[in-house]
Amino acid sequence: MQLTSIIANMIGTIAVINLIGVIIQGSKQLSVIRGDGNRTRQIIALGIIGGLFGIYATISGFRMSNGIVIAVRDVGPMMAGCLGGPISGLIAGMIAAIHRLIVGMPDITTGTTIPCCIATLLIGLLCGQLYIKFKAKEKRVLWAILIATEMELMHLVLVFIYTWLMSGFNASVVLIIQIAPPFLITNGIAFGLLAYVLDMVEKYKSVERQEKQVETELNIAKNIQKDMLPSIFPNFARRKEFSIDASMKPAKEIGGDFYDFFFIDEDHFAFLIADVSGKGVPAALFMVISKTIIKNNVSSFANLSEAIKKSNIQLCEGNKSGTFVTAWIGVYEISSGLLTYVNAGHNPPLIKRNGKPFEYLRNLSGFFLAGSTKTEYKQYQTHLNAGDRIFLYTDGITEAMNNNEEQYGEDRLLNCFSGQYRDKTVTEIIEVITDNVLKFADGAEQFDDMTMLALMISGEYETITVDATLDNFDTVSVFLTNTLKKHNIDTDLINKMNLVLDELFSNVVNYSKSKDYKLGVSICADRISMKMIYGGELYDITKVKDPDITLAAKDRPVGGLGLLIVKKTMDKVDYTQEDGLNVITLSKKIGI
Amino acid sequence: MDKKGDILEVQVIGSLNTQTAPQLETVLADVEDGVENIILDLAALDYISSAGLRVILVTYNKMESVDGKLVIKNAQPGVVEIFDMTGFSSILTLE
Repeated sequence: MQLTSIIANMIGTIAVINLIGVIIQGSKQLSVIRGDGNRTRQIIALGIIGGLFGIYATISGFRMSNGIVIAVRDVGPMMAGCLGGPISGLIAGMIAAIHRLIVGMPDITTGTTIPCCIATLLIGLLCGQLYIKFKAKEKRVLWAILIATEMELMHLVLVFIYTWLMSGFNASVVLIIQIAPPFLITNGIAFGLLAYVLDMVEKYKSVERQEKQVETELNIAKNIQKDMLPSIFPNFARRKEFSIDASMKPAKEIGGDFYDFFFIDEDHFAFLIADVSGKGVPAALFMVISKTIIKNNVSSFANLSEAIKKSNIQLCEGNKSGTFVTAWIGVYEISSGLLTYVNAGHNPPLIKRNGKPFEYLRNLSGFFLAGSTKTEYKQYQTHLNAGDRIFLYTDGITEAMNNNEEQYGEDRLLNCFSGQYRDKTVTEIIEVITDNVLKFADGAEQFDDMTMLALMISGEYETITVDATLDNFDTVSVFLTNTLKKHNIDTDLINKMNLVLDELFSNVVNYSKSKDYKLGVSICADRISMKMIYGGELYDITKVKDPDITLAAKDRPVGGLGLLIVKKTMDKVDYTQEDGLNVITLSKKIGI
Repeated sequence: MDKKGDILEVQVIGSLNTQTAPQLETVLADVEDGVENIILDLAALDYISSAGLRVILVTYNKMESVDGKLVIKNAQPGVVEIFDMTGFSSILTLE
């Protein structure tokens, strides 16, 4: 009966020791007390803590009816020794023993003070010897119980010998029989439990360490991902033909947005934006492979839709996770201003052409990438001329949420480009949109990557519009000559451009039935660009077959020579239809 | 325009384009019979367009039919380039 009540009474003390152990080992703020990272401080700290444990245990011991106090004092030196080594054990043992000596001073000869003091000191030292072995164990509870009972057995032996010497054999046996069970059980429980909670703290700490490591690695991955995106400087900063800017603002979690731009050859510039479905590491990995595959194919195929078709097939291969990619890919031909693009399920870009306001370019070429191997991708074409701009973005922009769970949306985005903002440069565009979206979100958490890319064609076209009659040729010709002279183009080249104008203007007047004729001239970098817009019959002049110029004079056709001259004089001649009008764009490198 | 016996020499000044080619055509079409050689002096010709080439081709064929000759002289590099480009160099006599 007495045994159970002893244990019941002692549980409180044991619990307190455990609690302090957890707090000291587990708390981040107490790392100084623990002496983290400094072995000497750690040894001393453990020694003192163990000693204080011992003092507390002595004070809160249970006094049995025969006056003997059952205490778990030795747990302090045990802990200090096992966790901190011999010196910690010695310090803890000394502190606890000295305190025990002071407490037991009044009846030093009759009580068990002397053997108890010696035992406590010895336990500290002995446990210090077990330090390395104990540290290496994984499940330390059983070991702790074993150590505690062994140590207390030694303690009991000392008490037995001392009592025998002082009070005789019989009295000694009676005493040991009385105190041995509670002594062994309480100390076993106390140190076992302490080992258990310390194990748990260790475990949580290592989980925390692992989490931290994963977080660090993810951050590294995020940076690698970011570094994979091309930078504007120094490669593209000084391009005269166009300016480009892009930004990616990743959400907290690593994601799959990316943009890319690169020269396929001297005359063809590819730029694209894409969004891989999902988040986290899977999306990031898919982003890397998507970027590589798209760049490889766009660089090696002459035809953009073929390049995207091939990319899609490659991305479908082995894609069992159901990940998919939406992408908008454009290839800009600098000499002609022709933009060829494919939209694989991506958000419609905003485009500003011919001095008109920004509008959404909603052509869709096909299903998103990595969805189905059978998808065909239709390519579209439009012209980007001097001053034109195009803005690509991912759904992180349009689907940005505010605190009222409202989405930013396409209308708000379009509004950013109206009024005072319509003539912003690429860098300003990115800034304005970023600001506007952040202002809208008003502190709400960003859930998705926000990625943008803006491209603007440099220079401005000077234009003239006349009625399409032969009489107006002089007016147009004078305009062209003056514009070219302003840019110091030499007479020979001016004559050539006038020749080209002559051929095409007369064609418009004679065959197209157009009421008017618009000519745009732009000189940018080392290139003269001309653009002619007229109505009437839609007819692709580039499809006209070249005449045979080897026939005998009397058999020679007269038609077709003009277009032959145009094609041979200019570096590039392109024909498109825009808004029901014929558009011819021509370009010629200056100096060749 | 300068006529010496059966030789007609014409100086073409400025550009021979859509607007001006018909003028030359009129001039050359009015040439009297008996003229066997036409010389076009292109020293002051800035450029020639297909409209001008057409006039030259018509004139060339006309002279061939009367066993006459069309001679082009002093053509500037830019104009020669057009003749080369269009295959006219192979039929014309350039001086």
